[in-house]
Amino acid sequence: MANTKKQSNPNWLVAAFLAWLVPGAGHLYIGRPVRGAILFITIGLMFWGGMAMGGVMTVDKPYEPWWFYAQMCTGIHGIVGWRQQDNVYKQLASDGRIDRMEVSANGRPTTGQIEVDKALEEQGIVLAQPVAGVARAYTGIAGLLNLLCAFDAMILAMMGCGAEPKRNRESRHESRKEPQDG
Amino acid sequence: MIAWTIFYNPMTFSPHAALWLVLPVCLAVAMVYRTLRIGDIRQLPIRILALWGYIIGGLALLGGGFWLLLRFLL
Repeated sequence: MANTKKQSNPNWLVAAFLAWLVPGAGHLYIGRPVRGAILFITIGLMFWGGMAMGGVMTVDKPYEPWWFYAQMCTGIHGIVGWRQQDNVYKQLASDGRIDRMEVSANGRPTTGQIEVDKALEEQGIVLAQPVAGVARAYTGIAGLLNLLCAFDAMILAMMGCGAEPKRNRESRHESRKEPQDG
Repeated sequence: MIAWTIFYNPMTFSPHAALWLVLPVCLAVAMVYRTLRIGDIRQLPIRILALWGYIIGGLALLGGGFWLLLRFLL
């Protein structure tokens, strides 16, 4: 049976970008909506579960840069978390509680970490162990899993494998039914 | 007393309670991995549960092995 339609292959750059920006969107774009929905829900729940545990300081660019890079792999989720955390530092700086260094190599406030922690503790948002470790692991692993999804969507788009593969059982039945033509 | 707000204030739990939180992480890893790798999407739930079981079992064996090592050999 050779009635396959000629379809345009999805662009791998668009697939990778969409997969990074919104988890699961890359798979939706290449024609795998069920997988896209599962990835969207799983990665979103994992990231926001971590944020619920750790609060606004879970994404902490100045003091936890490696976790931050992993968290940013969740795309829009990570960006929202980063904006919330950045607003906390901006608020503390506008209140005069910390000296914020706008232009620096790592973006840390010039105020010492003890003073920063004290200011965060007064707000009730300082993050301590074991919650810090668990919350950052949840959000960071969500990011790394999304990186895997983005890579998968990109490779599938490059290979031109758009839609869902034919179900194994059906294809096995079909191959049994079809007569062997020499 | 500061009111607790979700996604703003952190939760508090003991290190022992934190151990149980490895289960959802393993489930999420199994879900994502199987969703990417499986051919027939109808088999997804059972394959996810199987992989979740393997991961938890492997971690339990590893933990048990290290516990025995510390308890009796070191």
